[in-house]
Amino acid sequence: MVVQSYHRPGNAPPDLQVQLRACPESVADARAEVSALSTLDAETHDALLIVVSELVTNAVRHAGLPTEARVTLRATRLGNRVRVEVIDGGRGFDREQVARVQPSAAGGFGLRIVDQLSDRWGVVRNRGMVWAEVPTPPGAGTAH
Amino acid sequence: MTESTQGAFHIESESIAEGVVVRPIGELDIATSDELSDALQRALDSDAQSVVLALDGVTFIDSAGVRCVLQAVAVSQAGADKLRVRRDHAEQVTRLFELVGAIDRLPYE
Repeated sequence: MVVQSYHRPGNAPPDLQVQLRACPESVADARAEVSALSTLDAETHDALLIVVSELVTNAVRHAGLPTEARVTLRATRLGNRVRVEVIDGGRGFDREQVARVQPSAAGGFGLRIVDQLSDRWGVVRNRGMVWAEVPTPPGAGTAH
Repeated sequence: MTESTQGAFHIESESIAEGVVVRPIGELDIATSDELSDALQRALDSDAQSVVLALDGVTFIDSAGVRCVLQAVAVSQAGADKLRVRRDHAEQVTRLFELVGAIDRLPYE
């Protein structure tokens, strides 16, 4: 589900906030940072790794950032879901891409994957941010 | 067997009687998929009768890796159709191809 507006969930402080270089190698770094988050069940962990990989890939690939630029990654646990935010400070991703996605197209797979693994996601274009919320299974999220 | 190394990710190439096995080892994403694309293109361009892509060493794949594999499949099928994929890859690899609706496009052995 693509959400059109910006839903900031309360004032929950992020469980993770890191700055990454805007380069392809940072995508693996982003996964490693998320993977190190504690108290994630395996299902949520695996989905989050994929979502973060896609969002950071889009940030470093499409944002047209200079190489010295930084991409901010945030992850926040929110009850029955984990929210991730990727801020590139640039123009962000083109949410309209999702309407044009074709399976055979060179691009577009990443957004399809994010759409399927998250409850909802969206773009805040004027903040250069894309976010997604990955659901956690009932009863999970408290076990180590 | 020859190996090329780029960080933790690397690709093993093994000659077998029928051709060559290309085996990427590590995480397949935007930073590493070009290396696999190059290896597959070289194998497809070679005299090898068959090219086998073994993904059992791939510990993580995202859409960049999926795209890279599907592009090689398309190149193969536009030519001599000598690329085949081994079925012994991890469930995470299966899942990604399923998520993009492309699992049926993998030319399994």
